[in-house]
Amino acid sequence: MIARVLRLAAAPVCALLLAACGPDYDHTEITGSRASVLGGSVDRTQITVPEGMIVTAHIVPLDDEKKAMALTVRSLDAAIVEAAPVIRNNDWAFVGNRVGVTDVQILADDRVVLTIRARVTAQPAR
Amino acid sequence: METKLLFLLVPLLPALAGCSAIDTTGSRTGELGNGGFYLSCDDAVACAPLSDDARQFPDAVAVGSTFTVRFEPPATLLQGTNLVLTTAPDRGIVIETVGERAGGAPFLTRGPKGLSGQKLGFGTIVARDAAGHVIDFTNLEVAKPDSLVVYRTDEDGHGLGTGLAVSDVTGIEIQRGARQTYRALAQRSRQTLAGSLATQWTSSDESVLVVDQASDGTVTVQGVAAGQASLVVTAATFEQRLTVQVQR
Repeated sequence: MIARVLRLAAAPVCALLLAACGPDYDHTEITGSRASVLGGSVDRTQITVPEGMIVTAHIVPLDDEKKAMALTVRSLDAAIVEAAPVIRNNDWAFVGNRVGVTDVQILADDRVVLTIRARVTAQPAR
Repeated sequence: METKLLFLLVPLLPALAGCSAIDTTGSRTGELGNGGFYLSCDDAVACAPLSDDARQFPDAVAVGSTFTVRFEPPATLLQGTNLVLTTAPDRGIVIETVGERAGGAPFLTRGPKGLSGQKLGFGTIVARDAAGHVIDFTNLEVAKPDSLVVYRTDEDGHGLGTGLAVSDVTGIEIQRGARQTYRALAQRSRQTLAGSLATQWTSSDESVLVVDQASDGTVTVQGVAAGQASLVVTAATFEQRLTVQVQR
């Protein structure tokens, strides 16, 4: 009886151990930040976009084996800043829809791994 | 040896130019380099040869004006790995302005006559594929004009491409019974701003010169009898007055 219970308990434990042996998220690389004519930038700590403008960046989440993970980027308030995929892999456009502040989440393999504060700034008065 | 090589290569240059991924005649290459944006020539000074596109994509449009933009990706892009451009006839490409989806940033808006310069500042025009992916984008300033400028066009209202504003010329001449077409555009610091304006055209003496038809910034006038008349165009708070001499 005890042996049977141990065998049953061993199965999920082994499964957990095996899962733990797989690659884990390590870090996110953000490169090629491209400003608009009025400025703006994207890095790991902040996204800044002037209202009405677009800034772009190349984003790659990497696992601990240095392999790229599946990426999704989402804005918590798309009325302020929209995160839109560019047709080239892992390039993202941050669209400054309205002045304000929100957060943009980076998801690797469907898990939130990084949250970046996104700020849409007003254009200079004319 | 080098000279001989040059003679061999020079005739090949036009062919090599034809290999270019993007035909930039009249277009502005997008910020991502994935294609070209074109302005309708009805909204600008002059047309590119054998097309309905403006000769140049503008840097600025007048606030309150309307205009039409199209986007053309290079053929090579259509074979891209994750590009969804399948819907005929326009392959699913959608032209949007930043803020349009979210109801914000109203520098450029969409109206029944195409896009419109709504608020002073810089707007962005975006080309997306059917899946909403950004293909490319370009910026356009919405500027405040300080005067009007008038260009002569052909009878369809297409710019003749002379670049010469008739409002800068004294003594416009027209034969009795002949028709001529003009287009008024806004300008800022003598730089022409693109975009069609809502205009009103009047003749100071309809026994000499009559306004035949007028729409979207263009007018066709006809000389009725020998003499001199003023052709007056107004848009918003601006006015431009042309002196027209009708000859017998």
